Amino acid sequence: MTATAVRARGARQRGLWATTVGKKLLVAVTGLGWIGFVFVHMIGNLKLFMGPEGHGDSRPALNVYGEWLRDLGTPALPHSVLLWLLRFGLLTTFVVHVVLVAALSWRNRAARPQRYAKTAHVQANPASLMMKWGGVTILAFLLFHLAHFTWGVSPDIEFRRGDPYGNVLQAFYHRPWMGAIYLVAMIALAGHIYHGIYSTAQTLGINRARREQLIRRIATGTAALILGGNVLIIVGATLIKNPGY
Amino acid sequence: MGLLSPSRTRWRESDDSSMLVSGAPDGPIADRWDEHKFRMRLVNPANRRRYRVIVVGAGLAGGAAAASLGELGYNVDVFCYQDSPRRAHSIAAQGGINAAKNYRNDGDSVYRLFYDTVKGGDFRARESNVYRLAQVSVDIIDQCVAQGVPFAREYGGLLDNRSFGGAQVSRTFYARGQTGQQLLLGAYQALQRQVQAGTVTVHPRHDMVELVTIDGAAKGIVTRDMIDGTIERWSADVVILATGGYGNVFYLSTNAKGSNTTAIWRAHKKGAFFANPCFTQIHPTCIPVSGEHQSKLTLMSESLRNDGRIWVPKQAGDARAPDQIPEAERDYFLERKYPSFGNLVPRDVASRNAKEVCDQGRGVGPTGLGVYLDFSDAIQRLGADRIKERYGNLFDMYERITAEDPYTVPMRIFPAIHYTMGGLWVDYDLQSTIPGLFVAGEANFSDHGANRLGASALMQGLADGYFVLPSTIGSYLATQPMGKTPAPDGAAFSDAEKAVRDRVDTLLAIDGSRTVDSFHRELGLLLWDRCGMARNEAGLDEALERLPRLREEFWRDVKVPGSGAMLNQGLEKAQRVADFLELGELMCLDALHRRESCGGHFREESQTPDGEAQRDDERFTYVGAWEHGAGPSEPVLHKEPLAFDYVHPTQRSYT
Amino acid sequence: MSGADGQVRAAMRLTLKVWRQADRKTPGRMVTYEAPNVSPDMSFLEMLDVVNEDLILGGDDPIAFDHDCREGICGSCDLMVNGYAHGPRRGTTVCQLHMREFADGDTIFIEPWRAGSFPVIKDLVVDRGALDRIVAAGGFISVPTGSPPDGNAIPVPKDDVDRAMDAAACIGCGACVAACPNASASLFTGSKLTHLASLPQGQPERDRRTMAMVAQMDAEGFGSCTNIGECSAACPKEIPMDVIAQMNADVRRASRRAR
Repeated sequence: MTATAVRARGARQRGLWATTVGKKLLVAVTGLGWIGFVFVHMIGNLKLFMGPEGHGDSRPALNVYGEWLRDLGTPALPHSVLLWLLRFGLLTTFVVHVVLVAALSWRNRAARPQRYAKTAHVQANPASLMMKWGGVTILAFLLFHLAHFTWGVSPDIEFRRGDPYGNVLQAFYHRPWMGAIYLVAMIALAGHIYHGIYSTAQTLGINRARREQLIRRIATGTAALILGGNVLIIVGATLIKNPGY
Repeated sequence: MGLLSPSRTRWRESDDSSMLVSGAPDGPIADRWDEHKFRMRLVNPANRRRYRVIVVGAGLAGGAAAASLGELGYNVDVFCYQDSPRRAHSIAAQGGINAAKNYRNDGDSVYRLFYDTVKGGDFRARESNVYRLAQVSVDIIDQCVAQGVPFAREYGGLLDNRSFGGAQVSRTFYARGQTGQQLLLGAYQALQRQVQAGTVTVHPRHDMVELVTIDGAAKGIVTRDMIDGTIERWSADVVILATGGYGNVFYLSTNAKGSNTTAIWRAHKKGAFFANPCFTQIHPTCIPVSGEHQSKLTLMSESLRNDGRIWVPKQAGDARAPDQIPEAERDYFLERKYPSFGNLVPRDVASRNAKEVCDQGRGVGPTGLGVYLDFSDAIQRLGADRIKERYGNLFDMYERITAEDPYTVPMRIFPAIHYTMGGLWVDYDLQSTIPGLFVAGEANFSDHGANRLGASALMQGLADGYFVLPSTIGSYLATQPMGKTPAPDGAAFSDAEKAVRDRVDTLLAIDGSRTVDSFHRELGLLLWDRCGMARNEAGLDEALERLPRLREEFWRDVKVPGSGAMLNQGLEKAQRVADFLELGELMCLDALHRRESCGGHFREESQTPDGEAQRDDERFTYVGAWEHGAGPSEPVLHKEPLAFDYVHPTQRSYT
Repeated sequence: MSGADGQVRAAMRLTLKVWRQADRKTPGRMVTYEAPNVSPDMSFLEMLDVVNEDLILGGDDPIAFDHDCREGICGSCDLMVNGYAHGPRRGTTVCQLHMREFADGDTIFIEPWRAGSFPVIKDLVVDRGALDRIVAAGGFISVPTGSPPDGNAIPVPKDDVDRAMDAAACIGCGACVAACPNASASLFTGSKLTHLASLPQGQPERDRRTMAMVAQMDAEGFGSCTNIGECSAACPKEIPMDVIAQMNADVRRASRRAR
């Protein structure tokens, strides 16, 4: 054996998280959590189409939904506490996801110090190759999006807390360039979700050759659903005139 | 000069038969191995780590032996030229492994496997060894199954068997078409387990280039590190060679490119007798040579002959495409000559007949060295789907290599060298004439006589490695002083190392005008023509005239690039070819001296009226074991007489 | 050169761009060679043999490359051809790739496997000892010689043994690592784990084996799997990606049972 021989002893004691497989498992689980969030988020935002008086009272359905989120857990818990807990959970999963991916990516880069002079791909789809950069795009977008609609620090709209309906329409109406930014992000997200779901099936060890097609279909279906829903929201917001402004 | 007149001058014969004591026990054949094992000396488990064992070669025999000896607690060093023991050429065996399990209830038994092997070897093997082989075959299967070798199974979950190579019983176990691979991986994994346990150290990319003997006993080897060219000395209490066969002496064979004779040839030159070097086996169904660039031959499973029909045009020089040759102008020569066996005659018969029709100018393909193996009748009878089911992967392989579609154009096949039955002489313990030098697998001569049956090579390699050597090595070591492995710094070691350095320096200094491969090709062609499928006195004499000249030219005009202190594949090849050049001469000599036909050795002067191999039991019922003489051309013949107490010699007939 | 049909297959002229590197320490570079007379019937390695014969006669150092059986089973040969591990033809080792896959005038890039865990020894020859060490860590069933029960004592469902065999077909060539954008050895490790985990004989050590092999794979510095699938596409034995899923599942299983 060569001088570079490395011995990995006692791995069993150090356990699951010490291995790359264990780390990927965490990436997969946190990713799944975020797919769930993205789905719920999309459902919530689709209430945009219920208009300014969605539930029959004078308030837009989207705003009612936002209020409901803040009321979650009341009266057992004080106002907004559960929402903050959820936000904290989301943030933690996100950080775990990103930190682990960064660590694994670092490792993967180091695993091939010398590149090929000529490369070719047989099997890889763009989604799988773009996972890392797609992720970075999504991260950048997420910050932009939060600044836009949660923190209200965006300079170009007059942000009104508690009125997401108004904020959204104000941001998008007759501003197709804004829609375009969101659209690009949503495509990146869909690719990320597609390969994320397939990857999760692999990482959780569910995939078998006979299930490969089924899993690919589920991945495509989920990605398409989320992309479709979100694009609908963007298009809708670009076209619907907000009566309040 | 009459055809069978002796030309004795080429070699000397020894009258001293004391050199070749087989050590096979007497008594009823079925009890001999157990009896022998009981009489063996043992090494206390606590003392085993104080003995060092060197194993050269990591195929089925070497890998299995090293793993088993490591388990027993010996200190084992394994050397192989490949970058990993998992790549030894045992991996390429396709068909299967025989074992007398009688799982089919078709009348098989240890005795029948023994009987078939002795008879198949054309009565030139030692009965005691063959019986032991048949006996332990049963344990091999158990061992391999337990290791996780994925043998084919039936829906009931039990092991499947098939009949192989014309055997009357189904005793062949197989793992798709990759039986050798799976068995080797089993041995390799067992070996890696010992590596982890610390009992075995593997030295890949190490060429054994010299054997070291002290007071006549094997005590070490000299290797060349193939990465940086370092010449290293290794000492041990016992040395095992399991380095495979020497089929590459023919340049083109089904062996791996790196397969070589250097380890056993170096040992031969240090005193180990070389037995039956002319016993080589030809496989009839290989893909023909496509041109000068050809580097090796690819074997296709013999099973193709179950449905394919072999033919050539009746007319010599008929250059028409096969579909343009009408039925009446085709010669289905095997069906014509052997009506009852037809295309399923044994390997050697099929091969010889193919050569014969090609010699008549009726061969097909661009080189004229090929015969058709035609599936059109079978496709008509069974449908293309059925044929695809049976031979699909073989047809794909053929198409990939030749770019011809065997479903529409008849395959072309030609025989190729595939196995060598000859090898270093060993006794019942697998010990050579050098004490402490044991030889296993294809590298020894022991179990197959003059011809090996299909699916028996894997069996022998594993029998030697798993079951014979672990007992006999212990028995030998028990006679050696414990913890007294010589340091590799004595005169014997430094002389051996110096010999290696000198040889390397000489080769590099020649700086001639011909490449190593060009010499190897020339040697191969000469041997193929004169000492291949059919041999005769005149041809062998001619070869024996030409070989010394070729060897002389090699040492005068070879061009070996680079230096010794680097990864230098040209230098590796040059050392191997230098040894092949000497071995080739011994093969021709052995073939010349054995004026009978037997098994894979066909002397044209010795055939029955219908062209069958004709043995001469009166004169040649012995193992011809050659002692290296003063020079490469002056060997001394020793004879180990063979007795057949159980299986009585008969004449083969397939007509 | 002519085929069986008598048609003459014209020789091709090719340009080769080959990685040359003197030893482990010396930096290497791509060097251009002309191969003016290549028969379409040659295998890729035979083409290199011919180039090397010319280099030797011209007093140059021939191109070093690993090869042995030349029939696609030993796993020695390991060339990256135009960015494809073992060349562009699927399910084929480079020793079984024939020059008819290329066209007259082509330029062919020939590089060694690239991975930190496979250091280049010379030219196109790399050290794949890391794969042996992964197997040594646990890729076996502990069964001392002579101890096992009868081969038919434990029936094994045919489907299980077929799956074991599919995975066991791995030849250890390292193409999976070479083709993986992350230089991950997951397909290699997964195939050995799947082979042994599919059989009843492999069960007693299954958890220990899984964790030990995965830990060794990590310790060797291979990248992690991002399920791209290049490995399986490059694999000359076309081992499916699901062996990686099996490995992942078994890691979970092992850690669950360790608690």
